[in-house]
Amino acid sequence: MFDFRFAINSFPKILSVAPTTIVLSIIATLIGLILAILIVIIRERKIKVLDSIAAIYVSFIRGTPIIVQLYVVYYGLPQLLVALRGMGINTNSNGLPVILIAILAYSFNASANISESIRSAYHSVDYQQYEAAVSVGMKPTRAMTRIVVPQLITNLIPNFSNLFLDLIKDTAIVYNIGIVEIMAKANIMSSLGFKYIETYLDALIIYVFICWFFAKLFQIFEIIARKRISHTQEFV
Amino acid sequence: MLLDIKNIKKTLKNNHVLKGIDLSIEKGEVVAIIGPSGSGKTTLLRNINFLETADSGMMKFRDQQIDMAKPSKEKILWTRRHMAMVFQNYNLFKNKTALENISEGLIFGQNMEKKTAESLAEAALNQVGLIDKKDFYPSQLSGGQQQRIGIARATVLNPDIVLFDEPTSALDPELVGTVLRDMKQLAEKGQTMIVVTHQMSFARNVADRVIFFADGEIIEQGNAEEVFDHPQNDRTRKFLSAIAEDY
Amino acid sequence: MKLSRIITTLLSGLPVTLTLLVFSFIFAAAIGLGIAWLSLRNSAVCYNISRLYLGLVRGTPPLLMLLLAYYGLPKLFLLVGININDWSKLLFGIVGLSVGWSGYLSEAFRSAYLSVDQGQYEAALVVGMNPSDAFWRIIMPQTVLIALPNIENLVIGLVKATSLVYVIGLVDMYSSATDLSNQNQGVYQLEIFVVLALIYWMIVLAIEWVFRSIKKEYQYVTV
Repeated sequence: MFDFRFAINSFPKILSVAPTTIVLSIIATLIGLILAILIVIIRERKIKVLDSIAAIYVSFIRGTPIIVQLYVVYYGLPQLLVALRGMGINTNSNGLPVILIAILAYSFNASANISESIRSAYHSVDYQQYEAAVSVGMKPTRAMTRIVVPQLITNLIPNFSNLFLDLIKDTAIVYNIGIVEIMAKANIMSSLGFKYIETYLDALIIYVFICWFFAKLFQIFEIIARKRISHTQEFV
Repeated sequence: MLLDIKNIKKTLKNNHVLKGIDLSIEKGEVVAIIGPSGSGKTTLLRNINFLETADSGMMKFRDQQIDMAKPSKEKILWTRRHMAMVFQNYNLFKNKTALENISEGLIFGQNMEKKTAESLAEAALNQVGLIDKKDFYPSQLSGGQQQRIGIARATVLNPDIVLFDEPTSALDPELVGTVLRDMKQLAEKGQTMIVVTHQMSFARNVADRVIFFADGEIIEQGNAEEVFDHPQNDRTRKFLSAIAEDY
Repeated sequence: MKLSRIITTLLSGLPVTLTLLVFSFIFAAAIGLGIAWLSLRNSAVCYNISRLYLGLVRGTPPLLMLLLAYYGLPKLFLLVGININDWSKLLFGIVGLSVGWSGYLSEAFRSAYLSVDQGQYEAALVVGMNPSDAFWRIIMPQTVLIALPNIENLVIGLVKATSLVYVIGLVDMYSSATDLSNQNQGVYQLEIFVVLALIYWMIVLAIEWVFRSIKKEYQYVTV
């Protein structure tokens, strides 16, 4: 009842598309990180109006399923481009590559989650560290970049690692808009042989390995960061 | 003899924390244990009510003979229900109000009715003048208030012995006085107490007997005058003069 | 198409979404407590079993977990001669989500338990409570309160994950939205998904409000 041969034969085929999952996750996380830093600056500096907009944006993204966000971008982006063209801006809404849509949707998603993590890491840095830096004559921006941010980064890594792993797992739905990654390939293989559990177990092994690998990688980053940047010895 | 401990030994990581100590306490006696930090005073207290288990030693408490290295669950519970303890860090239950902190032991340790327990707890709060704080949580109280409730929580159980583990060490200096006053009143009422303390004034003025403890053993003991004014042992003298410089 | 038609169609899937949410959370919490208990026992075997379970469960996308529950569980049960092919899909949905969330919940309980001050337990013992009263009256309430912010995030995550049950053919709110969008040959698709997003958002805001009220009620306990 469990077709080992089928499971083993399918494995390399499913594995071959793992880079799609990983690359999509990494690009979306990087763009999300940049957006998140902007959001954090807006919210921590309490810039008028933008501050409230950013808060609503974060709440909305955190309050809705990624699959719904994906479809809002999928259906919304072309309409936005059409509207922009109506305003005289030269855009072409035809043939938008789906990978672009996916990257956008996941970047938005990541930006909201990462911004909250950065904020809590920022608040966990003792304010007296900043005061001490200023009191020895550092300029405020210098105090931030030399004293606060390095400590913030070490505090951030464990959370950031979790968010990145969540994002990898969340990409398992992009086959809905036609991108062939691990889950999509598993589904395709399944439908070829009407054998489901075999390919899903293959996918499980690949996901568990990817998550294990990146979790270890971030742990190493954290150890290095604690040694190099903040010189504290508490390993989590 | 209310409590009689024979030859209690305890080793932690190859470190002899208690090196075969004998200790007897009479009913109504107030015993102060003084000595340098890390000498095993707190460990001794924690072994008496089995928060830690000794490597060897026998204990006779009231009419019960207990092997301190292998106490049964029943004897542990029985011992704890006839003793009480006051902690250095108060350890008030964070999820209970001041009143509930005091009544909890009566209800769940002594199976008292909730109503009776609460009225006893109110009386205890009244006595320490903190009745207006009865619905406050520990986080809303000062250290001194918390420790006085800690003492009320212990004494409301009407225990044969109250163990005090450095009850004033975590307090701000200005709050120490109120807690010591409560302890003195308790001593005057005839409560049997074993007090590990750094407050030499308390040891000198209130204790019936002072024990100087160092490196896991009792170096010398006697009444306050003997130990403070005429110490026989060199280490006692050194300790007392080092402390004198502090004050 | 009228907005009211979109809203009523989507809301018809709400009972399934909420059923999944409530039961999956209850079972996930129960399994999570068990795993946390296992990992906190002084036994290398128990600890390693719990780590293995966590590694597998937390490395698996929820979508895949649902598929594995739906296709794998009947085969597993058939091995011991029990036929569960006619179980309701809802049950498989609950199993998949419960297993998926049990790992996160067990970590939330475990870390909260470890951060309860050991002195609290000792204080309960020295006032004469027996160990089980001390655990249930003093340690457990504090553990839950410390874990509350994490639990809140996990409940919100679970709300969002219920949208994945379309893969096993359950008709929840998300599924109703895709059905409606397909019926209309692609018109009003954006509107449908925006309304759907707003409904999920409202649910999450309501959950956040509930947790805020609980936290306020116990603000003096968790400081």
